[in-house]
Amino acid sequence: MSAERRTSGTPAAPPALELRSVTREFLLGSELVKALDTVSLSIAQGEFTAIVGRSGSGKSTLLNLAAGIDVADSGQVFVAGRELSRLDDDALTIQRRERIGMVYQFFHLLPTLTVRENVALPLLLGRGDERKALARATKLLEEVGLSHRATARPHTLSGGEMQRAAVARALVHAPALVLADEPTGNLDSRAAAQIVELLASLGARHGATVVMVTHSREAAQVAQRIVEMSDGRVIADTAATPA
Amino acid sequence: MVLFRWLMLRRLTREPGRTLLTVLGVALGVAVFVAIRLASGSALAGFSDTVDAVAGRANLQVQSRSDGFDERLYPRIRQMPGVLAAAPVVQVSALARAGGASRAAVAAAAAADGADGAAGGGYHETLLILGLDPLVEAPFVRLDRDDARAASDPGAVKGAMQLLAQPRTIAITRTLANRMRLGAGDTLSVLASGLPVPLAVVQVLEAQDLQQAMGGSIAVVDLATAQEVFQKAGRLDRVDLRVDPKRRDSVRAALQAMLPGDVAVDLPQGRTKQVENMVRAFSLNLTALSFIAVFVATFLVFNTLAMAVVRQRRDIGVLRALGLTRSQVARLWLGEALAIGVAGSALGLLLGWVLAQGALGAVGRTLHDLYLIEHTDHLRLDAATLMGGAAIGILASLVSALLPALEAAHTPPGATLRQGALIEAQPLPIARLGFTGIGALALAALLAWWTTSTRQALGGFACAFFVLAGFSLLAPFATLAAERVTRPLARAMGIEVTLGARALRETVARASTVVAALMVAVGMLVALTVMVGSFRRTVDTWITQSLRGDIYIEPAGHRASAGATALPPELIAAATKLPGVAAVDTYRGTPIRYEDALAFVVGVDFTVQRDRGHLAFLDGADGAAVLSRAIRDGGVIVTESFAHRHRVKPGDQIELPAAIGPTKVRVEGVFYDYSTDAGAVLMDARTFARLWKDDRVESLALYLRPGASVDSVRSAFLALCGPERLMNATPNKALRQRVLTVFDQTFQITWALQGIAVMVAVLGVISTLTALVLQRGREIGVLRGSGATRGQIRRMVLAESGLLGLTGAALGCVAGLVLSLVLVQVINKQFFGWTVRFTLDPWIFLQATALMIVTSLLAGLAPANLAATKVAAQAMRAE
Ligand SMILES: Nc1ncnc2c1ncn2[C@@H]1O[C@H](COP(=O)(O)OP(=O)(O)OP(=O)(O)O)[C@@H](O)[C@H]1O
Ligand SMILES: [Mg+2]
Repeated sequence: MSAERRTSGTPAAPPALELRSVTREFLLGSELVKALDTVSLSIAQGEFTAIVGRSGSGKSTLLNLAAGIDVADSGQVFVAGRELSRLDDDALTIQRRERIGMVYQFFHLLPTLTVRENVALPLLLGRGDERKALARATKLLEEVGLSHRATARPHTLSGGEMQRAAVARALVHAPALVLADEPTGNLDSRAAAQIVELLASLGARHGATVVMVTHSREAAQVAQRIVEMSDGRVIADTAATPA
Repeated sequence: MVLFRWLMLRRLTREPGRTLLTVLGVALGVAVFVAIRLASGSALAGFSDTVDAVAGRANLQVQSRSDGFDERLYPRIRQMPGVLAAAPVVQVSALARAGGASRAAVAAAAAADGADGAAGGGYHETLLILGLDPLVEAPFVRLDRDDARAASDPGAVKGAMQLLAQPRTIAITRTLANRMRLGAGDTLSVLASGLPVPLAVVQVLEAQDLQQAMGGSIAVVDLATAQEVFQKAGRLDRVDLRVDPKRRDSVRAALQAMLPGDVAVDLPQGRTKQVENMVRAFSLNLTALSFIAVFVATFLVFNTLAMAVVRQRRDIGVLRALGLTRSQVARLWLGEALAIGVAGSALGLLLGWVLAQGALGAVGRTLHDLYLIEHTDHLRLDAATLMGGAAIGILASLVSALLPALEAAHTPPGATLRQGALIEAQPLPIARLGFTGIGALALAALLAWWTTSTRQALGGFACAFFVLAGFSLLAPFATLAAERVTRPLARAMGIEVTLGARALRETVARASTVVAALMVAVGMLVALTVMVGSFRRTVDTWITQSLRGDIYIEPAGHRASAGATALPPELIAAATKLPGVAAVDTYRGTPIRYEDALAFVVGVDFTVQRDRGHLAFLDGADGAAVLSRAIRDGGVIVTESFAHRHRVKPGDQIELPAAIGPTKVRVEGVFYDYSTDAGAVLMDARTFARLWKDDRVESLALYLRPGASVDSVRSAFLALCGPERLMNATPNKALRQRVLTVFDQTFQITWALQGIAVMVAVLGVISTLTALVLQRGREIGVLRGSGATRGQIRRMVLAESGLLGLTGAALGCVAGLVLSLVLVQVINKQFFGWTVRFTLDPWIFLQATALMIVTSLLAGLAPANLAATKVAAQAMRAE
């Protein structure tokens, strides 16, 4: 499926994320489980892709491989044309810090930092300037509509608010690739819709490629492309009909 | 830096209690180290100042290595070619007080003194009294205001002439005059062999050096006065010389060749060097003791950080996923340790300085008692010690942070992503740790063997360290074993207890750090209790056996004046005839240098000792036979410490630097003695008088007839002394009590350190259990959801804490037993040459175990409550 119609990325640009015959196996007890079974997939820059599928179908495993948190047993994973198995832990970490934003189902905000500091954190991991980082975080918080809670501690926020803060954190360093693993899993449908909307609009505004794992059909509908997985394989890959 | 501020400092300040405790732990370690070093350093520096001040401009000194030499040597020394000037010196320490010796004055002072009046008599000042010859003093410039005005200061010269002109006059320093509120024309009394001697103050000395040395407690009298008052007629302690600097070495050699063996020719600084060498062993021992505190602090920092890593595991995972590299993580944690180390060291230096003020008196007194060094009360800060203390605090923190930092750095970035997965470090290589532990113990055994066979005292401390390290490494194994062993019991106590025990097994990595901390605390508790108990029992037996006589008698001020004490022979003769007195033992001692180390030679009445004493000899030799032989052949007996240090055994000949020249004597026996680690050579009073040409008596011991009353004999003796002479007559029982009191005081600091160690371990229990509870929120929620009562949850957590306590205590008892053997058989023996009879009171094991289980259960209460209420409620809501 070609996707070179979008704003950013010239036709010559490498895909934002590409998997070539990737297999990942886990030993569960004495049984070998193929979490990913020779999966090949290419996601172009700027694309908003949803990954759907039943529980245990390998969605999270795919995201973890993309983030460089997990390593494939065979096959290759490319992020912006770079093959990940060639990178050591530090290089993978720096790649995450500079080019990837992550959103999780359980938000994972640091409890000791304020909301704004949580958002600014990725900028500081690479020794950024504190004032600039906080200013940028303030701007992102505005974009997600959380300015009024900037100095609050995370545990005082509602689930939807926490996830909006997490989205702001994922985008604060203008990453090329945003990986979201069930960002709506813990939210009611209204909050879920808001989050997906934010991911889509902010992703587009910042020119980021967004890969979102979700169980929700409505959420998937917002994406331009829906990849369906089952038992570690891609079983469907369709361009969504714009809502 | 921003990250550090946000992530680490903020957490430190959010948990002020925990942080403060950790910092305090480091501070205490540093403080003890600094205090002990500062105190002994100051004592030494004070000594060196005193040496300089009383030496004046002398660039060579002829000095007695024992108790003075014949003054007829003086003219021969002075006439030696190359000697430009020579000044004879008698130098004595004595107790003093302001005022005369009239009855009224004494009574008033005694009343002010309180209960101890009879002995003290208001004599609170210890003076260093120099007996000088004013006529030859000028070239040495020690009495004058300062160098520039030396020649022209009429005051000094006038005062000097007055010293000579009138007998029984004294000059004191400005500092002392101010402190005692004395001026020219007033009277000052000094104690000589218990007799007050009033001296007229004729001059106040302004010389700067004298004000500083010994806190200014220096006084000058005429040479003849000093010799007369302190019974040193015809004897000199020293002759100070100014020699042509270019010919100093040759003059020194020529003098040495001319002089007898117990008289040495030294540079003035040489004496300081010798003393430094003597004191080194002493201060090394104290320093080693202070390292116990540092060791405990290391554990505290390790524990705090390891716990924090566990609690922060999820956040570390998030940070790793967000893009924090491994080395950044490690650096953050090391940074935290650095912050703790810096704060702890800063506080420790302050605390150490305060402690040192207190320790100075004790250390100074000990140095005085052990090595006859005048003591100082002026604390000196020295940069090397302060920097050393800070370095130790910071290094200890960093080293103890190494493992937690590595552990944190190895947190996989995905640790957070799989919800519900047990957030546990890599499984512990229990077998490998166990084998390493056994290796460390084997190494300790090897070290113990090496230490005892080569007599390298330091090896003993390394050995103790490896014992603790070895048992620490066995902690994971012990934790698993304990769970295994108590399984049937747990089953009998209900499902919740089994669950708790199993939870501990699952998280053995964390549990075993606490077990190790508890082990160290219990181990040290047991080891010190056994060691101190054995030591105390040994010393008690020894005093009971060897305290000479039923009443011990010494003149007041004997401790200060030591050899410059002599009791009149009439008094001794009269004492022998007192009703109720069976025998009188006499005592005379002198320090000597033997094989370049300090030792003491003592003369006592061997006949009395043979017939009535109870000296215990090594190898169970028959005391009476040994002493009879010694009396017959003029032989000696030596203390165990002397025998150990100089490798001497019965039958050996040793050469003593006696006053009549080097003399070979036969060692007839080696006896147990714990009074000094320098070592002593005992001989019959008659042998001593012959070898040292000295038959004076410093102190007495009265043996009573059966049935005689101690009190009435004591009163009779004091009446014999007359109202003037101040004597201490101490019944055996009181003396024994006093020795044991001093003994107990010596070990007080050890118990303080012990308390800290136990506290640290208990805090470890609290924080670990809290972490475990928080982490198992889900599980606890499920338990509550499926019908577990609050009480059951509470019992589950308490089962964990109880098991932790039990495991730590059991391991600690074993470690403690081993450690006490090391302390008693290796360290004491090699360091002091003391045989401490190992006595074991099994009660200590029960007590320590009970103490640990109870405190662990108490420590488990808060986490148990947390689990039963807050955590369970939250977890259930989240489901
Ligand atoms: N670290 C791991 N250890 C063992 N097995 C794993 C691990 N991670 C994933 N698996 C297994 O791989 C398979 C795919 O897991 P994955 O988490 O990718 O599924 P998922 O599609 O994200 O499911 P869900 O929708 O429930 O999140 C599952 O069978 C899972 O048990
Ligand atoms: Mg998943």
